[in-house]
Amino acid sequence: MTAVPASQTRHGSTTPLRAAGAMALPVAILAVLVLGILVSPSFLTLGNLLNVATSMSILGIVVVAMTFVLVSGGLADLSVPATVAMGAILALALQPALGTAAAFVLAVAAAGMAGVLNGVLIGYARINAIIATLATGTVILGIAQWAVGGVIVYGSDPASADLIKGRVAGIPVLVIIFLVVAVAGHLLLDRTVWGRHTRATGDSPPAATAAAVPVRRIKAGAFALTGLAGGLSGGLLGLTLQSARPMVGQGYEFDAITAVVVGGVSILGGQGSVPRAVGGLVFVQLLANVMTLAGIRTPVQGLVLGLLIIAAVALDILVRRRGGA
Amino acid sequence: MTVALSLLAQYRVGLLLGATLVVALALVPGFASPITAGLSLDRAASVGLIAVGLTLLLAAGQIDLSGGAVFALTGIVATILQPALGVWPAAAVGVAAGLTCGAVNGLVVVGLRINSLVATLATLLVFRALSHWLTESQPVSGTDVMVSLVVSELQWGVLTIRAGLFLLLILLLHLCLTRTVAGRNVLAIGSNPAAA
Repeated sequence: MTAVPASQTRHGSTTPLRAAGAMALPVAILAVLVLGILVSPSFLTLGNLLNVATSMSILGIVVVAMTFVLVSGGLADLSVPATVAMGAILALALQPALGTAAAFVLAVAAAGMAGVLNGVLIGYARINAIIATLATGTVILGIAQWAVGGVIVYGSDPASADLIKGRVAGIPVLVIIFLVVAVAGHLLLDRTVWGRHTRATGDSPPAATAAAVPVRRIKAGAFALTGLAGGLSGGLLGLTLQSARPMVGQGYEFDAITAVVVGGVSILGGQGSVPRAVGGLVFVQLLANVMTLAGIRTPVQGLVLGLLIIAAVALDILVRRRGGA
Repeated sequence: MTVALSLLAQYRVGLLLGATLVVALALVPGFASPITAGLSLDRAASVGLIAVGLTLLLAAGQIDLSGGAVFALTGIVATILQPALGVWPAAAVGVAAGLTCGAVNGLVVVGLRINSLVATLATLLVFRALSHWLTESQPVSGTDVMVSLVVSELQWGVLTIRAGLFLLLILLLHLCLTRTVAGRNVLAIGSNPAAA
């Protein structure tokens, strides 16, 4: 890239820049919090913050899994809307026949199987992830629609909705589920052999292969995870709404990628962590909340978000001196 | 055996298309008429025009997720400017708007060195936001209904203007990719940027 030689990026002159890069996200979140307090008196209320937390939780589950896809160098999973829809539709449609709990488990498992299919196509058959997940997304959505033979399905167990929308010790159940998934994802990526292998695979597949990392299995595993997460996310969404349409998961893939990328996880793979991705999610969701409270129209919010992604990634490249990201 | 397989692989798209046509001819009454062919081609042309552009990008090893958003924005610009500029100048401005969007994408990907997947995801949001902004999220309609008739009319019994443009662009892109230096550069960049 520009003037600074590669040797200097590791020590010496760019260390402050690097530190700035690590601090950028916490500072940005703090700035949004301050902005929110200035903009609206209703921002820093328990009710509003709990609302933001609840609404980000369902997407957050996908964000955690999507982190694995990006870190493993798998680009992105565009079939998320389909697995979310599958989770939501099956969790509701199977309720009368199987009961709520069994229907939920089966819905998540079915979405997980779709994820495994993605994994096999991408990890083993080595099809480009964008193309593969675009194709399987269409197929998965078709199967989910065909399975229920209709357009909208409704829930038949309102008690389950109350449970999911309820609170335990003042904390919404959805938030608790998300936190459990996030902590589990973080430990998996940061503390286990699988996590180390995921980073190695994303960093350099040939080097990872040479080091006896099961590259194909690791890549496949990342997509199996997004399938499972999409199913879980969709199942919870279905129970919350008590209805599910095939389009229920629309936009989840892009929203999840946005959060992960704004969190500073490189799309080229090899680096990034679950806390960073969750930080990106928190930042984006808080910003959207503040803009809404400030009366900024949704179209303008999209404009801000788009520019934000570009700015975040450009900053990341500047800091890490790594092409792409 | 392997020769047969590789032939099969090489012409797979043609074979699939052929098989689809054969099944359709056998099962759908009236499928063989030129009107059906013309209308199918017309319907394919809208997506096809984007596909022509994407071919070039994929050949260069890139992706553009913002195609749909540019499609919408271009149509909206061309439609809302009709009262002020007249139909055809407005259409020209619409195309120019699309071109600008593409230039922005190019600038972000090449200038800022952002991965095309992430960059076009971001511009997708921006272009879509602009569309909503321009229209206040309401559908917009043109001033002259006759134009839509002209555009979707079958010329010489088979081709609409849109379909003709589509076929012409396919031909041009094919010649460009295989016969010109720029085209071969694109393919070279796609297969190995470092070597190119």
